[in-house]
Amino acid sequence: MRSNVANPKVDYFPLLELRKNMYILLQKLLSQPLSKNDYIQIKNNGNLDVIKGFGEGGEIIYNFFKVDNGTNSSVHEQEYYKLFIGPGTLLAPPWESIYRGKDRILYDYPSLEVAKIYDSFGLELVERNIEAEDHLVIELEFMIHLIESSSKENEIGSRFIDGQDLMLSQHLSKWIPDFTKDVLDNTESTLYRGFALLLNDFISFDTAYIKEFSL
Amino acid sequence: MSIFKQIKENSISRRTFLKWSGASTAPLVLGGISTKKYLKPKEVRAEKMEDQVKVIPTCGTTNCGGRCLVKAHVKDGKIIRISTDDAEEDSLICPQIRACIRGRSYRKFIYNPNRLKYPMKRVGKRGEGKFERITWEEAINTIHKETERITDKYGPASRYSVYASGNWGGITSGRTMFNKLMGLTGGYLGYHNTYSSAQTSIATPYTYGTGASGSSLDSLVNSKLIILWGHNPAETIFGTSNFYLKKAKEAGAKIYVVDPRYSDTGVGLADEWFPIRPTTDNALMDAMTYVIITENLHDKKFLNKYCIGHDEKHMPKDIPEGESLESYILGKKDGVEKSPEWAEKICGLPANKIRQLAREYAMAKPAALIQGWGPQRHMNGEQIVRGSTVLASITGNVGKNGGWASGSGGFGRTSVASVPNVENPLGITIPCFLYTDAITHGTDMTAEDGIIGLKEGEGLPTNIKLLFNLAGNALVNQHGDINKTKEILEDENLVEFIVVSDVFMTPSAKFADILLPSNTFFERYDIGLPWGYGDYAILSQKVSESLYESKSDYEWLTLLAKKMGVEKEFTEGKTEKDWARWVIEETRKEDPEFPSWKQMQKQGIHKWKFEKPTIGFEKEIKDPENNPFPTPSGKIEIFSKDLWDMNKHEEIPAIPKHVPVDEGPESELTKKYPLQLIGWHYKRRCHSTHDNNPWMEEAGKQEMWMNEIDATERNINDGDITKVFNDRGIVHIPVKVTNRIVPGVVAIPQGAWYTPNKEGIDTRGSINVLTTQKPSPLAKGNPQHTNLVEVEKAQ
Repeated sequence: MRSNVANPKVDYFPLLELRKNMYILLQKLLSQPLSKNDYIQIKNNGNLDVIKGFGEGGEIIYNFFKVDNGTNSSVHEQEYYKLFIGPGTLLAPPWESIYRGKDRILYDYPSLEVAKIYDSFGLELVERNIEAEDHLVIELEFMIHLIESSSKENEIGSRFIDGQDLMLSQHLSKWIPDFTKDVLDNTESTLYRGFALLLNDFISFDTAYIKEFSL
Repeated sequence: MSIFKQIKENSISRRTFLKWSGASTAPLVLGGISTKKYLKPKEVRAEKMEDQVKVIPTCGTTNCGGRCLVKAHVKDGKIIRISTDDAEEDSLICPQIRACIRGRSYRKFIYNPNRLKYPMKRVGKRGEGKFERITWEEAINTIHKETERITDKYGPASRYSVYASGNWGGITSGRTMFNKLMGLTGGYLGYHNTYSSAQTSIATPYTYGTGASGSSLDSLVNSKLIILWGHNPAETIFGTSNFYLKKAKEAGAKIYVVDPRYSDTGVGLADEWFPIRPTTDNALMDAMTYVIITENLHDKKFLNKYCIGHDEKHMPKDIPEGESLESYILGKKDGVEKSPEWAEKICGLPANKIRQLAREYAMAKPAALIQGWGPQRHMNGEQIVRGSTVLASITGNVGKNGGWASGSGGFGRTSVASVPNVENPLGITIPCFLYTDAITHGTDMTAEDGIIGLKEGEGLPTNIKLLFNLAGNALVNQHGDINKTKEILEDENLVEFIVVSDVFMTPSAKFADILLPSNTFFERYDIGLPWGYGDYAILSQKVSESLYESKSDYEWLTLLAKKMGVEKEFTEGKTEKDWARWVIEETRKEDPEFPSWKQMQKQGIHKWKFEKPTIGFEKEIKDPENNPFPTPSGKIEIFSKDLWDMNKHEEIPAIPKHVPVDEGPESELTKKYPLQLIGWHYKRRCHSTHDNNPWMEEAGKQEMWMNEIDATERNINDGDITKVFNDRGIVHIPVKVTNRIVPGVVAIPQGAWYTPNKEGIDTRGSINVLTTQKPSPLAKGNPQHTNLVEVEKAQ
């Protein structure tokens, strides 16, 4: 326990919503190509003021939705496919196993490790084999789950905070920088460049931030 | 500096940060859009999460000669390791069936992140490679609609399933099930031949009446001399060939290889390499025959008893004088003695080496001249096949234990039950290599083009309008003249709809209108059998669930069958697993020694044991009276009257002859394109499968072999990127300068994925950019080893 540990009532819980929504935003941008409807929804009803300050990525995303006039969604859709889905060679395959395993294949040791972590928190895949456990969308979903669960606790050092620390320091922070580089090296799309930069900055921030509250 | 950066660098206190975030006008809000959930609370179960590793025996079902035993080590539904056959017994009658480097790299195949995951539909021009994701429902509906529309407009003969061997499994592959589905709904245009063995399958029966000219390989331990003629089992893994060749060597057999390359088989097994130029095999064979006849080494008793056409006294009726083998070899009619000196000029092998080869083959009793399928994949490969059967006959090596009748060497003494299929009501088949012709001018094609099932003078009822390309890369990558094929397929007025299913986006998959994600053999049930030489069958077991939304061809064809109203007749109420079980149980009915379903699930492989070899044509030789050869004359037809009657004596002679071809070393075209180009089967791929496997790239990179002399002449050094070209296209490929290939010949291993740059130049080394679509004269087969090119250093 650190001597200058923060007071969770003051420092952790107020930021909870913000952090959770950051993960939701990132997850949303990654989980499927941005449809015209979703773009309009966010443009008209979303409030993205707070991410303006989150580094270059935050600014790009903010401008993309709030400042720029309209977007050619089919161009960004093709970029999305080329980066994350295929067909063809994925330019930024969004699985931890790819970046940390030896052979750049799926279902390497990281997938087994995070599956165990999910299991220890009482979670499993809705449908096995539809997606590997270490896909970024699922790792982000898990972070959201941990944050939500932690809001019900009242002491610091809860296992949900420890879980976030584990996921961030032992997993996400170890591959997101390389993944970000692949996205930046392979697309001109402002949407996905912004996404990658925001993701990288936020994961880096959150990894350091959560350390203050875990044991 | 942004708030965020300051926090990161600890240059701002947490309190200040909290003040900032609390002071934001409103919380981060996205406006109410939801995301799919992948995680759920665990279901209550008795056991803990799987920490156990299960080992499940299975096999691959790509078009690999081995189809070996592969054991998947599975933990928590994921394959964490692959091992192979480690049975204690590894004997002559029961060898281990061990996987090669391809089998051992299967995890990188199934878990490649670039696997096709979702059904997709084309957006943009055909062949551009732009797709968007759709649901399976939309995919099946579209396929159904287009199939109905095209069938109504052009008739069922407009429907064609492209030759494909990515799933060469035993029971319910896309190729065979397309036939069943279309057979139930009016028919389709079928094909005959394969890209592997067209020339030899068609030509061998002109000598023996059948292509089943092989013996079981354990007979090779009785051979005194084995000549591997364009045969490279060390890389291709032709069933259990490698095991038995090693045993033969141990038993004292000499092994020679005849090949333009000093192949891995040569290096690993041979006592001597006899290099020749591609397409000149018949000149060498003619000269060997010359030596054997003039030195009285031929088996006259055998010839007179079993053969016709070897000399003037043993010819069919009504054939003019001078057409016998002997007359041809001795130059009685054309004035050219087919001597070693004559042959040396053509094939490049020195005359004294020809004499050595001929004498040793004739005098080693018995000797096995085993021809691979490379030599027949040429512009007049049929001659090369027939030539080998003639050599076997004049030396009396047919029907002998330790001998070999040559030709296609077809052999199989074991089998399993076949899944029922449906006959094609249309009954028309084209040679598979002519599929693009049937698109551009099918209605002009007749029996003359090798089409079977048409009446005299009749053309195809329609051009091909609908293509299903299921688990194959012969739509584009493996077919001849890729640039020409591309042009044809890009035209949406020619073929109106293309369905493709595959594991990856191959160069062929790029041309899909609907692109379907296929599962892999690990994710479904099948039965695996080797190419001929191997007395085993393997249950290819399902080891894990299909990834993403991938389905087997059988699964989605079932959905299509439902739409077409024939689901019951199509599936007969069975899933793939049911069919696998059915095959095993039916086989057991005929062969009680065959394991039960439960046993097969446990052991994975069944190995039949035979106490002694099975010799091809043994009956025909031991008791010819009661077992004539299935030829018109009942004899071994060195001279074939059927061929004579075709009246194409130059291109399709009645006895095998050296026939110079359009892109051979004697062609005028060598003035423009002086180098011969062949493409061998590389150990690191199975045809085009595994080209995207990084482990395999390490094991054998894609490079062209070139002789030192040719390289020096062109200022090319080892490792340089070269430009290889002819009138059909341009390829850039790094070169390996080596003396393991004959001067005047370059070799690009086949199967590399066509990867054009902006200028249309292939940058991966896909040989079919340079091959032709012109078929061989008799079989209408693919002549993919007969090409002329020039090579320069690439700029």
